[in-house]
Amino acid sequence: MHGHTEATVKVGYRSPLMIFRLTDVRPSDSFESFPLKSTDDQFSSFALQSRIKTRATSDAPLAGIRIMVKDNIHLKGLKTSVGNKAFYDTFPERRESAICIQKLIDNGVAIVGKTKMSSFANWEEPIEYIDYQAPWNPRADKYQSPGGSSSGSAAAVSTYDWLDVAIGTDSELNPLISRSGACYG
Amino acid sequence: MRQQVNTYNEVDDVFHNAFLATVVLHGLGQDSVTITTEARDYLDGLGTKCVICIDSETLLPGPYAVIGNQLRDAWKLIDDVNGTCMVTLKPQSK
Repeated sequence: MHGHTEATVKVGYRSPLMIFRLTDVRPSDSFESFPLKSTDDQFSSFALQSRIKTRATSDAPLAGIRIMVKDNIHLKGLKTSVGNKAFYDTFPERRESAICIQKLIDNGVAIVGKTKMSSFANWEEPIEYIDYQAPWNPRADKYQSPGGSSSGSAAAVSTYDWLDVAIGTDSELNPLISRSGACYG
Repeated sequence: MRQQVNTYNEVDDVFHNAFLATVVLHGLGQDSVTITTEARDYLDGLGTKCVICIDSETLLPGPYAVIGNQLRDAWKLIDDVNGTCMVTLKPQSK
């Protein structure tokens, strides 16, 4: 997965002549999960790339913006759960990213995770989550409802100041984004 | 150089001055770069031990980890303390 560029190095300050190999990851439009767990082993760990670098990769207007995507929206190379284990187990990794997300990718965003949601975007409270644990609401005693179905997206933007945007979904009949947003203030 | 470092610290939460232990200047051709006394003192104050010039123009700006003889992309690791995600993602290269 890595290409290498041999570069001759000349040094004008303190160090002898050295030959460095620059390791460049081959460009890919397919996503991969980040395998490290959190320091307390309870959750996952995010891997944040330097904004200096992400902004330098493109002149696109959203270059370097960090986003998360609700897990009912497809990303190429990953499975989609829609908050349900049976759905996750049934369908393979996606061959393409959703059009709406591909437009964001084409404009330079950095996607750092896929957020939790209630199963099939149903109206669920944390005690009703069966397949996956509900995200924690950082407000008050931490046991307040995260709302739904875009619970993970709302939890993420209210928890992480390094996150710029989290994508959720909504409908006329069921205001799923606005309900979660209200739960987090 | 001073302005560049200040900009890096302002816009980026991954970069910090410890990455300046080794400074890599790129795209400057085969000739050695002359480091002024002022620049040297400034970098010394930030803990710089080594300045390297390379003629590759494919290197993106930002923090790297020097591991062996390779430059590796540096990622800041942060716990998903509120279990917000089904999966976190490996940064993509573009």
